Amino acid sequence: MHPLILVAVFVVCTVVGYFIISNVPSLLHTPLMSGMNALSGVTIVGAIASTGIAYLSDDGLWAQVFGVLAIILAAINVFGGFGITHRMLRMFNKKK
Amino acid sequence: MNWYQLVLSILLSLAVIGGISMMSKVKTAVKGNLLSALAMLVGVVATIAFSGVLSAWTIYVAIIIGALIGSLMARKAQMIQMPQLVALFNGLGGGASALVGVMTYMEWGMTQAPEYPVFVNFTAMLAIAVGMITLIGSLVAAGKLARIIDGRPKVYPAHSLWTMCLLLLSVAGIVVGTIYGGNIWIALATVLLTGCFGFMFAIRVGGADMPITISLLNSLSGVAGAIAGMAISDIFLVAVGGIVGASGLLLTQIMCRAMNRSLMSILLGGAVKKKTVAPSQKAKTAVAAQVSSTRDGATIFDENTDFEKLLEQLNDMEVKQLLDAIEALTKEVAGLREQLAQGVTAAPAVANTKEEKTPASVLSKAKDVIIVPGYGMALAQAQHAVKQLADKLEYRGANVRFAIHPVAGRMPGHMNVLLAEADIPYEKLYEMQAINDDFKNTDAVVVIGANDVLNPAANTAEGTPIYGMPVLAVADAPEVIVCNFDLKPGYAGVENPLYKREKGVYLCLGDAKETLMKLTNEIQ
Repeated sequence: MHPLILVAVFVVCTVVGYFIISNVPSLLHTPLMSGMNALSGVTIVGAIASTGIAYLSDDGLWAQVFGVLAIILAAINVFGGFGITHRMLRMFNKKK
Repeated sequence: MNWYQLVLSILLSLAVIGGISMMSKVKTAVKGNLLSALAMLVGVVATIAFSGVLSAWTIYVAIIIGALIGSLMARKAQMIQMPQLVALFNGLGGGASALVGVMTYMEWGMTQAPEYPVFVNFTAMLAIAVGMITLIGSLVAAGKLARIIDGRPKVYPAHSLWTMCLLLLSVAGIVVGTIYGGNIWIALATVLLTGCFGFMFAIRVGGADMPITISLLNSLSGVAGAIAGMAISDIFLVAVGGIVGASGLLLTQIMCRAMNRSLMSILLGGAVKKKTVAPSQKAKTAVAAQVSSTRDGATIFDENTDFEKLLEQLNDMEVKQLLDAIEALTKEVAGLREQLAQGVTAAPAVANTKEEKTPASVLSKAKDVIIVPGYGMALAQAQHAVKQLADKLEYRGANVRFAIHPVAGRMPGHMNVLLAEADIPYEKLYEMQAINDDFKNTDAVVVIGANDVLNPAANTAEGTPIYGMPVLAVADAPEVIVCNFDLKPGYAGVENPLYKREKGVYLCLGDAKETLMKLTNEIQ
């Protein structure tokens, strides 16, 4: 894909993100941050693709070591992040 | 990339955006979070399917290990540990982006040679840099918050010089890596250099500025993911990374405004500022000690006074502070004289009025109460005791509200989560701007483990770290009950003049949980 498209997507999403977040009240800032945090683990998608292809095309042991480590770290980020956000948000809604 | 992959990426990005905007209301927030998580899950499954890596067993093992560790940590964590947990998770995400950067730079896991090798090399190196800064910076921040390492700002000799050198070397590493692709030593050297830079930058930030650092690092981890996405040309990654990056930046801005500090002063000047404040603070307390000694003895200076030492201390003070100290001294002397003039008869009268009004009696009569919780409440694990107090007051017909300062706690919105944990309904939690005007009309204010966020000195004490910070107008309230552990200055190191107010301030010192329970029992 052309680099310019990628950069453009990044810029657009940055602006969109900025406006959405400014609507969130400070009451919910901690869950929001931890939810964002979970989303930053989206890099797991890249790690999976790279590691999988490296495995199938025999790029060697080091590629697997780096790749598996990357997936583990990202998975902790994703599962931990969404899990804790869910727990927090449920507390706010406990009564209802 | 096929067109259906592109469409799916766009749909998933929209789902994430929808999920986040649903998090702006308490009622829809749970669903919003689940929607984001679902989008992520679909993204992972689609990636496995579309890149044809179904048969690579190593990825499944890695996902399962990570998922187990992550879920376990999320389940076990207490709400007071939230800041360090978010910092830790955040760092791991950054680390993963850095590793993806290394793999892409080494052209591991690529089906064909990249179409734009310079762009790929550059973004891969940049992903390594931003990812490593996030990883090491977050680990340091998490360590500080968890008190594994010293929480105070730490400045090494020639700190700025070292930081600058590391930054320049890191940039050099990125440039060299962009030109010469596929060299593992360049990649590892950059990993090391940027990691050291992350350490130097995070170690000099102090505990009170931690909320801002965490949200900045949160932003960086998003940016790292987006850059890694550019390196492997994955639109979904770029989009989500961009959103996270922007949100972190916005939160950082909000926090900075709430604390009346600029981002640069936190990253660069935080420790330096404290240093210049320290000696005059010392001198101030010395003078204060001198002043208080006059209460017991009749004379201000006796033969034991070390004039040379006092002079030395006075020399350390700036002119303005010196004037303040002199003013305090004169006031003290005038007060003493007045007391002498009034004679002994005045003393029992004072005691009588004090007997009539106790914190419990004030609260028993109050019809409108505002509770101001701070991080000290969380440290004392007093959330449930607070809830009991609020329940009792409400049962007696009082209107109870909670005033939350934007930087109460250790991360944005931390206090709300802690109170929600104790079943306090979120409708009763008010932001500072919404409630600040009501302090003067309320009957009583109960302060629990909070200090800097209500220190009226923030409006007057020029040159102190909190000067200019918007604070809760607790000082306007007629009756203030302070349930703090002690009267020591808070994190900012500025004394709170409210504690010395003569009328309507009741100090209940000690463990907040015990004082609150006692107070609740005494209310009739």
